[in-house]
Amino acid sequence: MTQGVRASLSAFLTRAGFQVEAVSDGAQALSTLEKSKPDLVVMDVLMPRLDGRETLRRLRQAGNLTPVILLTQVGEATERAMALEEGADDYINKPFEPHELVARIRAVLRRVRAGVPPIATAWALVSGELRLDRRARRVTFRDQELNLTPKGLLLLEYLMTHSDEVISRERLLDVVWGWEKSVASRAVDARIAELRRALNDSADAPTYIETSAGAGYRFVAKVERGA
Amino acid sequence: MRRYRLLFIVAVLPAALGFLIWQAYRFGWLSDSILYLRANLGLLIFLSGLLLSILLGIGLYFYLRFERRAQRTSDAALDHFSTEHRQFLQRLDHELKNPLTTLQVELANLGDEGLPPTQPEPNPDSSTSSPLERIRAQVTRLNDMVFQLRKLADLQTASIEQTTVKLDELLDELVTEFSATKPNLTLNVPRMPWSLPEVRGDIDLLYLVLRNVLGNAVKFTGPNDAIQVRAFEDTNHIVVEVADEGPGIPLDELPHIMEELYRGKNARGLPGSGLGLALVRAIVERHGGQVTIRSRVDQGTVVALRLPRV
Repeated sequence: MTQGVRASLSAFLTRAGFQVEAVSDGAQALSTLEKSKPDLVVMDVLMPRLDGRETLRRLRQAGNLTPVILLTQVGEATERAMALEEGADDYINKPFEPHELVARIRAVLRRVRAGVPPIATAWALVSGELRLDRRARRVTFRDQELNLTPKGLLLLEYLMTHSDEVISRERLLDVVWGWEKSVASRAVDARIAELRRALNDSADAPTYIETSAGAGYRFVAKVERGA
Repeated sequence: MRRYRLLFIVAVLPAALGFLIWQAYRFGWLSDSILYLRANLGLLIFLSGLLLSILLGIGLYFYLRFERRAQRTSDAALDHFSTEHRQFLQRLDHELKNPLTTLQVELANLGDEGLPPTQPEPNPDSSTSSPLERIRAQVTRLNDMVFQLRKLADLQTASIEQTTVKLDELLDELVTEFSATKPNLTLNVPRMPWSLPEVRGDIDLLYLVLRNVLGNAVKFTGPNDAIQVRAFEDTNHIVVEVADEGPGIPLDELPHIMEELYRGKNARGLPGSGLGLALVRAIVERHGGQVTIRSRVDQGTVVALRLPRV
């Protein structure tokens, strides 16, 4: 990230109670990671020398499972899907609300268990009778293929990779649509309704998606890595 | 133009050549002989028709070729322009992001004293707000603008989801929402003998379009001015019109009103980014539709959206 962002973010994260070590590019990040073994890495996609994607790819290829949050540039769905495919644990679009980043960091750290690859890197997600095949962009429920809209699928994917976490409508909107706050509640609620219909889930007694009053939504069922 | 003159000279050439040869016979430079031609009338008519057709065909062929080339040149110019325009938007968005991120983080560094991040935007003009709050409000505004710029740039390339959308339901929803603050708001949508046909597209984007247009009408009219929202079929299109009795848009501003960051004189005192209508136009055009605005100063404005029906 640029020097300005790096310096202010270091200060902010330190104030938030983290121990921070900042480096200026991907190559440095890789060598520092070897030495200091941090609990989590926040990395800009755009970096000099080695960009964030490539750094992440090399890290994962070397078998290093340190959680990574990517600071992404573009709002497009393909770009976001790519971040998860390459093994990022989460991502946040710039410019972002710094408190939101701290919330993301805490959530990822909570999810992480030593030695277990994060669910965000799984190719298939399974929760009971529900199965999401991420590469084929296919969802099956009780052995029947569900006909979801692309955004519905993206939303379900995000909820499942962040299960047991209350995610605000704004955050979901940012993830799935990339932008626009003024349509937030309507757009997200309509897609959640679509998912609930498809999954035969009820808002009052949810098996999968729970409404957290005033806060957002949460995928409550247990999600496992699929074969 | 020189090209055309050349073509005309070529066109006159056979006649000129014929004239010269005729004169040559007349003045005895060549020994003239008379050609007796005998054919049945039917065949003669067919032959002259054939000749005419061949001539017309050749003419048409060259005309079309010429036309196509001209079209290609102007398409390429337009493409080039819109690519450049998009790239500009992307770069602008991109370059604004890092400084904005820094600003936001530093504000958080400075101002954790009691301002939670989700607090509603403080009034930037209020004299009771602290300098920090005022800076925060302006950064929020800048942030929104960068968001909108990104949307605009994204929209040119993003894939548009294709589902059937019932515009009348969206309009119902929006009108109900806005009538809370605007009692003079009416909706006129056909339900008899059949209801408004659906359109195909991205429901969230279309909702955003309707919301922006209706929001504009509400913003730019006085509390007692009426607003009418109406929708109807027009052969292959659905037309949605938002008509208001607001101050109207001066004639010289009309051509620019949908450009990015343009703000009319009447709009300058009001909140807004100057990107709303640009966004409306971009979305409607990605759906294969058109936006037109008719307006008379002191009488009102009609924004019309035409979208292809299913």
